[in-house]
Amino acid sequence: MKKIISLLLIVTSINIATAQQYNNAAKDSMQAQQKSNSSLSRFLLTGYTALTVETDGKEKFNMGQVQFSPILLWKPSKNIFFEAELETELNAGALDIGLEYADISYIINKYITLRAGKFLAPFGIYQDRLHASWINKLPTAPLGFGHDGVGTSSEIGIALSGGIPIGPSKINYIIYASNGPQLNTGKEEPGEEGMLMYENALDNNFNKAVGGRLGILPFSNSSLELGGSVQYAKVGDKASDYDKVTSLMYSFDLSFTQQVGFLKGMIDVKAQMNGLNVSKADYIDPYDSTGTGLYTYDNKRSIIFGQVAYRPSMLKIKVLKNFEGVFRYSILNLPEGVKENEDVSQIALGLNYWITWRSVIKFAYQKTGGKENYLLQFATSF
Amino acid sequence: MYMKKIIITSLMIGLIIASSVLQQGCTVTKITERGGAQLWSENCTRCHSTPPPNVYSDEQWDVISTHMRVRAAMTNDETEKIIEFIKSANK
Ligand code: HEC
Repeated sequence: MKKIISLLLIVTSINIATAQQYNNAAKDSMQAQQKSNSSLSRFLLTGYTALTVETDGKEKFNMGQVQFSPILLWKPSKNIFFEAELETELNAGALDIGLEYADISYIINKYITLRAGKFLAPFGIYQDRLHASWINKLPTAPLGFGHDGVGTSSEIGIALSGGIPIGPSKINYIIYASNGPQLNTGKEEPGEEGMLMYENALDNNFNKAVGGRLGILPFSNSSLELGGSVQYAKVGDKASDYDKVTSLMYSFDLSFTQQVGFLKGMIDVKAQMNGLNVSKADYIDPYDSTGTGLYTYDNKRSIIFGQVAYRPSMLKIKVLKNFEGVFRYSILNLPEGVKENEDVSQIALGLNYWITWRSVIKFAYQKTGGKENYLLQFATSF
Repeated sequence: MYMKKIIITSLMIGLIIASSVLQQGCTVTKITERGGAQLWSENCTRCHSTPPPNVYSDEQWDVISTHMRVRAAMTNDETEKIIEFIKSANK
């Protein structure tokens, strides 16, 4: 309920904000037209959409997964930039709508940009850079990545970011303060005690989460990027038994893309490891019949994925050039002592055909634990 | 079990990276000495397929380049050189 109300609040405030911006923009563009069409205020409506078919080859055959995510970009002046994405998804007959991000950036100088609003968490690379279905090389997210996974996916707060060249190398950084995650005590959802809830528009305590990411691109051709991210927050409700509970999460990521002559094509490697550590707390045991028994655990979870893709982009034959093969391995490690402790791993193999630079047909085979799955997806940005 | 697979995979990735670094040899040019076309072909592909210049108008590119600068934390100089190249190729 709280989530719905807070979501509504943001959506309305953004509506009001965009309406005002729209008015301003209309005025701006009129003024600009008067100034001989040299308008600086610029809109762009883009986004992406995906259609997924999934089957296990036996009982399940689902064609009902449709995703549509419009994105509004607006540049009212040289140094101000606004971006917003609405994510809508029709899944098993239910329509999910989410405000993926809505934030405004002010470019202070060459090296520093200030951002405020709801932004994709700069925590590793998956959520921020790879999750959009026309970018993701497989139809699914790696195990535990994405919404409600291990590690934050978006934050509401303020951030400073930028990119700095250093000789033949360059670095990029972002630091932020945000509402941060909240602890799920399992009272409403038994079995989820100790997990974190993200994307909170209303904070449950006075403390702000702080975090950031540093990326290093050591080579002048930008082929390799190594990144490290952290976030620290108090996650318990103020004035509850959980008010001292904290969470520390960290992530390491690697990205490598290069045309390799002797392979006649492009190699693309992406990897990320997320670790989450929620301090020890007592939770109500969901398996205790009296409903009052407590158990304690240290919520240490981690997830890892590694992905390698190859596209023979240097071949002369056009049809072959557009194919791409992908392999991904991902692991979800659950903490010791949690109820239903079972680590899971997943293998995904994919074959993609790129119709254009932004439209792709993906076919994938996936094995999660012992379960096999086949997926077919069409994804495009527009 | 996991550890072994992870180590093998990382070793393979390490090898690919090492070999391509060797390929680069000693011809390291500073980013500041690279032209817009080169920066365009090297940078955009880090995250997604590189869009050809003619799919958007100059005005649209202006918005997109700011989006990418902010989202991908590209440096100011890189972004400016790339957009200049795109606009010159977009005729
Ligand atoms: C660090 C990763 C990264 C790099 C580098 C990058 N992009 Fe992107 N790009 C993205 C992501 C992520 C999106 C999707 C945005 C979304 O869905 O929120 C995107 C979207 C786009 C779009 C779709 C329209 C839009 O603005 O959303 C265009 C066009 C684009 N990028 C062009 C470029 C060009 C040209 C370059 C090279 C100068 C580039 N990108 C470099 C990550 C990157």
